[in-house]
Amino acid sequence: MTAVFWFLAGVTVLAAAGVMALPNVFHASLCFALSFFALAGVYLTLGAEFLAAIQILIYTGAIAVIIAFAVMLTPPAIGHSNLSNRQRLWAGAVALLALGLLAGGLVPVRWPEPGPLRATSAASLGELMLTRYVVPFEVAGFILLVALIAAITVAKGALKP
Amino acid sequence: MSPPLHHYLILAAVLFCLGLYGVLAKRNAIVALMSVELMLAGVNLNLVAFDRYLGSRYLGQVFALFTVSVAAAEAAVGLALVIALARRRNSVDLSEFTDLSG
Repeated sequence: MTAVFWFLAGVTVLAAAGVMALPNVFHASLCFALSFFALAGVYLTLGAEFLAAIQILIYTGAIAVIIAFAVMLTPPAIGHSNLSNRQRLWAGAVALLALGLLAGGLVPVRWPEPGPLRATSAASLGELMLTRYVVPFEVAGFILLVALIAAITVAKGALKP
Repeated sequence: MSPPLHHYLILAAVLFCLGLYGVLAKRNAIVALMSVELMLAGVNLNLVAFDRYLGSRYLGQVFALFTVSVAAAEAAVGLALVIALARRRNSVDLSEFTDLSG
């Protein structure tokens, strides 16, 4: 299990670094998909198989595809190159500082051992979503509907003066 | 034998910080959006890992599901904005959009 985790974590981090480093945005979007695919594997090592399936369906299935479409629909000059701005050094310093602070706070703590792996999470999750968390569930559906209408309106150009 | 909790938390922190770097440093709006998604993924991994290790009766996984749906909404609206910008200004370079900077 530990070896599987290290392999998947390595693929996730390397692919995420590829999103930042590859000069072509289309390649970066493919790396993005790979990173989220490997992250779904990490969810499997945590016994969250329903979330892993959702992750693959939504991120590598839907979001990566619309990102690839957006890359193809944008003008090629800047649209296809993965440039950095003048704040690159500062941004790197801020990110490294944040990572150092997080790691320095996380590692010394004595974390609890995991409980036994639960048999299946999909059935219990579905039941919880329709009983205890039914109001947030409906609100999430409403947010998705609003976002869908907004995305169509904005992308269609209805807001043109 | 599963790895200890802080391995998952460090992986989540690395993803979050890579996304933070991308949001601050990238000029292409699509890459900035991908970086926001990476940050959200780091947060999600935290939620799922805590759910497994602190035994919270699926609360973390339910929360992660809602985060995923909000991330999907955010990606849809964000990419629609990018496409509207590309159509109107013929560019997706964030350093060109400085109309609101004083």
